[in-house]
Amino acid sequence: MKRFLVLAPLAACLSVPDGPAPECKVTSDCDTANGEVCDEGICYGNPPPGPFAALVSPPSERKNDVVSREVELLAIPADGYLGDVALDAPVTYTGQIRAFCPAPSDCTDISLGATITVTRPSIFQGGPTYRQVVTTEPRTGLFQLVVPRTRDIDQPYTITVIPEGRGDEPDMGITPAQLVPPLRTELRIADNETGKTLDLGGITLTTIDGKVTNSAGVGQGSYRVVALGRWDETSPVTEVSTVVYTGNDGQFALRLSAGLQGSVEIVAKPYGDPLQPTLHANVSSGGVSGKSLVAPANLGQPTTVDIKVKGTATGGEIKAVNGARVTVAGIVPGAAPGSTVATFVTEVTTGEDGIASVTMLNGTAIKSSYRVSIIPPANSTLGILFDSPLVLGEDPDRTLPERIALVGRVIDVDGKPLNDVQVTVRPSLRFQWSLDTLPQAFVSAIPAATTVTPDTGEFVVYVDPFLKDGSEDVWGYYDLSFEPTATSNAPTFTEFDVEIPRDTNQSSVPLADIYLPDAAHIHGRITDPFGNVVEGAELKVFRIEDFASLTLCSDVPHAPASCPIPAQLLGRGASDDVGIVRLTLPRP
Amino acid sequence: MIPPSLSVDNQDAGVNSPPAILAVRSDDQELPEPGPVLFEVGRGMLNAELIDTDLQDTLFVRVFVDYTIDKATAPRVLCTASPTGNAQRTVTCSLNALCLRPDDIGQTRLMSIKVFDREPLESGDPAFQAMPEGGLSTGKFFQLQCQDLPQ
Repeated sequence: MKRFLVLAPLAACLSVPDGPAPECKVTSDCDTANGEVCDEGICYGNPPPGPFAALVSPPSERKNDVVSREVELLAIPADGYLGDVALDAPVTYTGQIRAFCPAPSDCTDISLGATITVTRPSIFQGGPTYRQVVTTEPRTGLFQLVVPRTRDIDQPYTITVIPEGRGDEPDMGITPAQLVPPLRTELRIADNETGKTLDLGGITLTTIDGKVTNSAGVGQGSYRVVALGRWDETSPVTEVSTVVYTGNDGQFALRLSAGLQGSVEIVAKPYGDPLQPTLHANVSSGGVSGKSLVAPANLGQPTTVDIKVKGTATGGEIKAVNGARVTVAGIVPGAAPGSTVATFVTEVTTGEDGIASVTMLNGTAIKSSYRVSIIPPANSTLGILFDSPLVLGEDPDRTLPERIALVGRVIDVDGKPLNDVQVTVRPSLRFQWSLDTLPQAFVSAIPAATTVTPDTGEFVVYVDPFLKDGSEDVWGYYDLSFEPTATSNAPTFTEFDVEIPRDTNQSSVPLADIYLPDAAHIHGRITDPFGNVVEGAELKVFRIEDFASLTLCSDVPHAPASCPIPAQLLGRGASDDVGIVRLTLPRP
Repeated sequence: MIPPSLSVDNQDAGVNSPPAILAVRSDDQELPEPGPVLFEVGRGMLNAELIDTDLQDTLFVRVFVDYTIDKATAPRVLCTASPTGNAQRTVTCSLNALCLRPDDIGQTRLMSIKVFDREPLESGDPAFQAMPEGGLSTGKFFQLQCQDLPQ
């Protein structure tokens, strides 16, 4: 009896934070006309119209016994239950890399350390690329790939082997990267395979030799020399040769990877002292002998400039900007086509005093070419500065412009303001691909701004209204993503391509209320290939777009030729300890 | 008899539990520690599964690249997980500024993903990671590799 007397008042005081009220108790509480059923207090079903694609991926601790699986044209039943969604059994590809060097080099005793990158495009357009990165065992070159099986409908894997030892400065001893170039090949892996070999180097590879000199023709040491090129027309520019660290004679001999497209760019980047520019020259990937990379004359001496970055705080006072990334770049163009171009690029982050101390060369050849670009820290109310001339001897300090405020309110499907929604704003593809290469790279480096809505559902995020690309102002477009909490019964939602009004006097842009769509709940169970449930696996559902109807890449001047627009992710969820995964999708 | 309160929604102001990162997922996989992990310049999302037994704490995720005390760099990615009433929660972060062109291409960097239970301050020590007194943080570390987008 005594025990009862203690427990009774205890139970009366037990208090748990309120969770979301159940949506339903029985199925008749749901929209049965559209197939909804009540389960776990949630009305599941009535999914948005497809078509969809899905990707189910394993938890990292299971990566050796199950692998991800893509499902195209995923059908979502009216009751929202996907049934069992199975991960795939992997295939393994076990092998060894081998290095072959032409005489007089000797690869017999070198380390065989390398990074192997495995990629494959998604089976649905815009879907996430399959990626895996493994490293070889340095003594033996042994490696093992554990990957999804290549089916008839799949493209082959692209395998890129990058030998180790490509640092900005030389390591102790000779590294694999100095002896053999990277390797690119394709593999279909339909079954387990063992005892395979990937051969790096060889005696038939093209070579480019030459010398890094100063303007007087004297060889220059302490340069890292490498060739940049492409494996194919759509691949990005990457390092495609052995790496040479020049000695005092400045001599280099690069061995190019096989199978390159087009010309290559030789890049000689200095390390250590004295301060020097980076040298660039384009050459044929068919091989060149006696190529000289010549540093220009009149580069001057190192000089340190303190650039103070400041801006107007919200209270109106001028304050130093902490954490801004300051990049200073100078260039000495080549005297003739094909001759050496010299560049100088340095990057410094400002401290609490707002100062970036930048060491530059002060000679007449380069000093009038310096430009400074500044990216303020994430979520700053201050804006970017791109490609602003920096004249040595003049005031180096920079005042950042104020950003424009995007002001809005998030409303749920019942018309009520929604709190605790993470709002993220980033430059849209339309904005990025409206810009030429350098400003495009600059814009892509601006961290996304975020905020969280209070009880009023209101939000304010600050963005750069435009970017000056040469003489033209390219006005911004931004994607605004809204991520409610998992307990809010609202889906994630993205408002694409919000256009900034072409008005330089505007400090804020009031947006129309953002109405989050109705939520469609779906669920399923993630299993391994044998039907056992898998905890911690993730299911993502994408909308399959009719990409042919999208005109973005023809609307903008600098879209990549492959027009890589990502598929729209509608929802994602991780499986619980009984394998159940729950997703919330937006209804149109 | 006055029984002790068993309320879980009123935190003891003197005791703070650290937040933790349970899992980090990219667009195509859960990231295995310590990597290497591969990202493309200018795109991608990161989904962090977090836990904090202080149910009222807002959690702040910051992603740093090659951050050291001697050369402190500002976070390249930030996102915020609001309280949900549950210890576990997830948040999605935009990775558009994680990889920078051209410096990060082809290099191996150290990516640290940290979760803070107080908002990191604009100034203080360690730079960009200092919090109001009592704040706690934990993190995960990955070898980061970056590649450019297809042409």
